[in-house]
Amino acid sequence: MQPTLEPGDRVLVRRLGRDPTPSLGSVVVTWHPQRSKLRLIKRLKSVEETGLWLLGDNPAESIDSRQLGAVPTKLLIGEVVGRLLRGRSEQGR
Amino acid sequence: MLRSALSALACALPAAVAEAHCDGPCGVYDPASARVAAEAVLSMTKKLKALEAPAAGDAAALAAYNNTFGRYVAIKEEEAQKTKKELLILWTDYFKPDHLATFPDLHDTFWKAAKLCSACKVNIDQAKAEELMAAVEKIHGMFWQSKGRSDAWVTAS
Repeated sequence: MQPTLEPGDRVLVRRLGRDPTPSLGSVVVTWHPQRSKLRLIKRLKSVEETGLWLLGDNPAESIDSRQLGAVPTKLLIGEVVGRLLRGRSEQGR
Repeated sequence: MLRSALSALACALPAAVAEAHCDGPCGVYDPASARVAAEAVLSMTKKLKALEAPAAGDAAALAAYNNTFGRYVAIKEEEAQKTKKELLILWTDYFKPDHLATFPDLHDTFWKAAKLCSACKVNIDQAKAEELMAAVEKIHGMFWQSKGRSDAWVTAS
């Protein structure tokens, strides 16, 4: 998710309830559609009939809906509402 | 000051990890990408060898010939680089140290295959391109064996 997020960044996630309405363009956390124990963090591009169309901010490196397809809405965990300040040791990586 | 103190506190709390990156998390590897690129290298090598230079004095034919030749070389170069990149992804991301027990020649196999990619760029050498295909086939076998499968080696051409 560079340049928005760096590896190790901490974000605050607002969990979404049963009727999730994440805002388009926001960064969301979802479960990986094929690997059940992994969480993904991506930007919500659009909401399709088949689910959420998620794209990374770093298209050259990201594996996202371009490969995975739409991610079912039920896999959505929440919407990122903020990023914590980076500690000194984590800056400039 | 307060913000940084709060951040420091929050950063000390345990938190679940969300992945933004590809290789590890997606876990999708397939030697097929290397095979397709290597096939293209072999195909362009054969096409280059088959190209016939035009008769002397035919400027238009010479231009067309040079253009085609240049395109074929460029594609061969590009596909050989792509083959190398795809092989490196398998070598450095997919294969893990414990695979060395099953495949003691793993490093040597990849190293030689990568060298063949370079040889195919430097020369118009069908034998090298065929060796590259053989190396990719060997890697295909190792890869699927490591997954407990025995997928057949199928080529596009």
